[in-house]
Amino acid sequence: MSGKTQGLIGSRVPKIDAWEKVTGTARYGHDITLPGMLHARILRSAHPHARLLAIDTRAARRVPGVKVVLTGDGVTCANLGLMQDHPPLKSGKVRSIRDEIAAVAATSEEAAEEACRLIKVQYEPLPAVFDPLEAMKRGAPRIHDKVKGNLLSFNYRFSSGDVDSALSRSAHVVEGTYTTRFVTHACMEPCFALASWDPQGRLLLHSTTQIPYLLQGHMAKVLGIPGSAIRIKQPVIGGAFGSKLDTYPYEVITALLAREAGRPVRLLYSREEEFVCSPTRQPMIIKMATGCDADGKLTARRCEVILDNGAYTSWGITTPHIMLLGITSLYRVENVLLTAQSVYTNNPTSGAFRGYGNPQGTFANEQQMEALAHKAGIDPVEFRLLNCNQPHSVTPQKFRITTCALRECIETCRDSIDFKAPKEGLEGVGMASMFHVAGGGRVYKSDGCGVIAKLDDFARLTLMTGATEIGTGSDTAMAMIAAEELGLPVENVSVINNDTDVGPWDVGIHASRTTFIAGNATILAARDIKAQLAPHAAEKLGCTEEELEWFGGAIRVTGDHDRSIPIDKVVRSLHFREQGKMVVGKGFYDPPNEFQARDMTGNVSSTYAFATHACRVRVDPETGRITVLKFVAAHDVGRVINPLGLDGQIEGAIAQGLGMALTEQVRLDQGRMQNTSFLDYKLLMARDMPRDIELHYIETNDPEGPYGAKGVSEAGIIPIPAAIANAVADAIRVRIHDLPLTPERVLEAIKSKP
Amino acid sequence: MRRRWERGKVFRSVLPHFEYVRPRSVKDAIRILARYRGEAALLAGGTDLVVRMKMDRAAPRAIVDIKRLAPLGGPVKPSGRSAIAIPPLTTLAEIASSALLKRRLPVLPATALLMASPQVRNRATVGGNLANAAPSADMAPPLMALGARVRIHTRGGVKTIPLEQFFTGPGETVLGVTGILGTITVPLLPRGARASYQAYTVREAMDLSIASAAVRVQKKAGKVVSACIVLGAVAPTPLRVPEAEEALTGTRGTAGDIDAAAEAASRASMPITDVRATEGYRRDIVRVVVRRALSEVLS
Amino acid sequence: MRVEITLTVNGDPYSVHVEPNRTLLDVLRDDLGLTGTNRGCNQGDCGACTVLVDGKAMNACLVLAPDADGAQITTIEGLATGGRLHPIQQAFIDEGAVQCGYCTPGMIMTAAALLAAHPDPTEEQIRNGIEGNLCRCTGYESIVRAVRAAGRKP
Repeated sequence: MSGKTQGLIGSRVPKIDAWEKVTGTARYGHDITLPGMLHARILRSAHPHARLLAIDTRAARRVPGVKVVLTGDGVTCANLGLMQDHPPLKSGKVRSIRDEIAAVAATSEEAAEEACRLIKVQYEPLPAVFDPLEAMKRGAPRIHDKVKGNLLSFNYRFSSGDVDSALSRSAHVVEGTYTTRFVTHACMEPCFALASWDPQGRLLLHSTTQIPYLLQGHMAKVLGIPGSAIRIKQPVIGGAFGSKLDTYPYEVITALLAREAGRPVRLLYSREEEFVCSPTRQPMIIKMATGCDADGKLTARRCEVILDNGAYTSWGITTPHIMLLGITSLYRVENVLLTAQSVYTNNPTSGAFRGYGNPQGTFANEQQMEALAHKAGIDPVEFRLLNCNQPHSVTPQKFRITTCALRECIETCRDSIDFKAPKEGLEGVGMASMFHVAGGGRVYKSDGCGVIAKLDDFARLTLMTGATEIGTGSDTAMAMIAAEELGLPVENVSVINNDTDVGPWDVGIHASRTTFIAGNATILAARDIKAQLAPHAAEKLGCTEEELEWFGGAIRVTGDHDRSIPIDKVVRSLHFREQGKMVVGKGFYDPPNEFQARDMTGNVSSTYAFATHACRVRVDPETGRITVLKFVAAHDVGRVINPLGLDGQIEGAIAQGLGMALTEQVRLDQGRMQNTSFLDYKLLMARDMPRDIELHYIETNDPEGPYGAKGVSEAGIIPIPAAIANAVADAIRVRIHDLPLTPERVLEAIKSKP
Repeated sequence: MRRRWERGKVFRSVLPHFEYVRPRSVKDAIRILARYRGEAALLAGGTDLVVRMKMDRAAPRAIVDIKRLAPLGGPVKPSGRSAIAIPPLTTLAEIASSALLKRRLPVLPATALLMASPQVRNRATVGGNLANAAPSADMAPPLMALGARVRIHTRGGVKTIPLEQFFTGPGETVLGVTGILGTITVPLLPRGARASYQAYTVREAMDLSIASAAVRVQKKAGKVVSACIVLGAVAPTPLRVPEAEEALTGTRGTAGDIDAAAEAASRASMPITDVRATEGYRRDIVRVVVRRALSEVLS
Repeated sequence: MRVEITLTVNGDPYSVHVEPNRTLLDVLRDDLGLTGTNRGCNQGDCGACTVLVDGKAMNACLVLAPDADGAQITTIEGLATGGRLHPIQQAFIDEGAVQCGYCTPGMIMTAAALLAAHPDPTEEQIRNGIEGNLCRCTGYESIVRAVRAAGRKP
């Protein structure tokens, strides 16, 4: 057996699925076809808010090749979403431009599209509202008949100490309102679903979901069938970033069409449809005040947040949960008062997006830290160090911080970016830190993940799990961990994680949890295997179990490497005998974290991540264009499992974060997206990236993490809009409170200077 | 309330149907265009037409593929002693790599390189960029500033006009329904003349200009004796700004003279507010790109 | 009305009858079953469907099928030779330039065209070379490293 088998943790291991992605053999959703498969298209609303008076589908049904035409009145199914306010097919009323009015399945995409075009609809347009502040006003158009004032009942309040009196006694206070806009995931792969029903009435849904088991449950509820009659399979997923964290109308519609047609049905979004109809990051209006005493010690923080929920409720409504983490607990502040209110509008529905509200909150939080430092006459870096969290502390929300390298992160950035270096023209430096869940996040009743590990007669180890891979490299991390435990080469490990009939439960890939949670589950499963093999190996080698060492595909005696037996030989000796047995290990890991109480206290994650980013920018005084000259990211990652994957997570997050900070914005006019192509929705491209990026990892060896690791994949995006805003404020001496920092907005700010 | 039947929105993922026609000659192509009475579209690189069709902004009954018509293709080559002839089917990649252009009219290869992506430049043609007449078309301002003339093939015969007279509105040209753009002839720069094109985009690549400016300035004995300044993306067509040219002509081309010309250009521009930028910002950017282009050629 | 086109893909000759409104991308994926080339935006803005047409990188979604008649096409499936990965494929694996992988085939084909023209490109040449390819996962850094690494190999 060849290949590295120990000391794997911390070494650069290529993704185990990389080869199929570089050869074009990876099977994405649009690569899958089933015999007799039909193609689906969806008809959406022409108005952002209207009563649906009548739908005439007769012409559509006459299009050759059309098999099924569905409308909201023609189906019975339950609503989707956390508030169960979202009918998969609308009837009676539409509330946003993306609302699904009808769906067609036909023998070709062309026929389905043609049929949709022939459907006639009578609307009674209603007054609509697109601004959450307007929507809250008395007399505003009511979007859901039962919801008064468009105010969602699901809102947040956290209070600790006496904020008003602490603020009034503070030596310095800064106040401001910060706004962040709709941005969208823009995954390279557009949405996909493929549904088929077997003759026993069991649904097989191929989906690029991040939550296979929740999807199974949601579909059961919506369709009114038992969950046992649903199987979810995931093809290779072409990007997710939170966008696939919920169950969406298109998945239900595809299943309904397939049931009605008695044939498989596949739905693929066009790119324009992807822009208009997929979830967004929830825009926020954040009103914040922060105070400190004369020495610069934080005294109090007050924060009121209004969130644009859009027309229906997805996970967007729960983002305050995570965003508040940073606001209460990035720095030590005793007196905190926070409220968050989500408001219905006729805008796109907001969902989950990498960082889950935390980039927005940090945008306000870290700008205030900078502004407050200046007001107090303290160097902003020193100001942060003075207030930064310490290991082994408890925050007002009762988060139990264990390992914490925030101080080291700040100092690393300070030393790398050189805040004192001379500046040419409008150059500026800025910094921002972040605090995030890194040991799971108990936002659902279970935060667990199961792994079944099968070691076969040829020393092939198969990990069966529900932990989804969306490109982050989590399955490679699992393979590395299993290989390290059992002394096998990574090449011997397969990860099967795309089928609810095979893998045990996982709550979903979110909250930067997969390497942490699934990694721990993998350790448990591997150790279960070890426990099964050890007695036999010890017996054969004539040693105690404690003396065994797992190395190079063999089990050997510590200190006496000549006494060794190939691991597969042990497996076979257990298997091929009378009353033989198979070697299958099990692991289920549910982290020691807590579901938060209504008062928003509780240790939601079993460990926390810290990071600081700093950057040097140059602003073109004539155009307002920002060039990021240097970018430094320092992360407390617990322990590096795979530097190759980790670099990719942070670098990718930097590109996404810079996009959010500089160019990305869903531009809406009356609820209609105006920039529905990659030409106008401006993701950063290779030439737009800073040429000088430095990554630093600080290893704190978290006691709960697998080999000491913490979750990292969201952390990288969180501080970026704030760090850029701080650097720009340093450069132009005007603070911009509104994202993104487009050249036009920056130029306006420059011109606004007295 | 009056009730009427409306449609909904269905996003297109399949191109609409059309007839695909490959004409035998330019004349044949013109005949075909005439037969379809405005419902046919010419296909060269297709990077504009195919996209518009996919975005539901065009649905021609016929597509006339002129890519293999010899009189419209061939290499970029000298035309007499003082000009270069660019066939309309020349791709942007060929413009960018033409040794002749790099040596004699480097502003054109530089402009082509600013546009789109390598993949698009390998297909998109200079003729298509001009004939589609997008206000932001990048090849138009420098070619206009250089005094390019274009051959027009029509039912009545062939004529040559200044490129300046070619554009009639956004997406509209003198070609009308049946005309076909022929060879583009670009005079070489006279002694003492230099040219520059500056386009401002939000991203470094794959972006459309917010505003752009091409300039050609000739100096003799330390004074500007002639100037041509053409703006892109700030008017229904590429816009020549005589006000700015006059402001510069006769001066020594100092920083102050350049500022005056840039200011005049900004005032003369007619930008609109759209999803990419506001009118006011575009005016600001006109000032910047004109100043940068003039500074480059007058330095 | 369907038209017959012949084309050579990865060295193999094909003849297909297609509606003119199909693109080269549709033909590769639907008619020839070469699904390695991904549809990202279908309008030339993302580069995910980049293939080589007569040696030049192009967005397959912008090439009308009849227009591809007679062309020599190379797709991601045709890059490896004799079971050996092309150096750029190996470099993408080694440098971690692959995450979700959806942009990867187009990115690799674009890089392959770049390397054919510039066997040892500078960082700026690489960034310019892939300026038409979007990636939402990697931030491009590992991709740039991969192209550099492949360029340095003989």
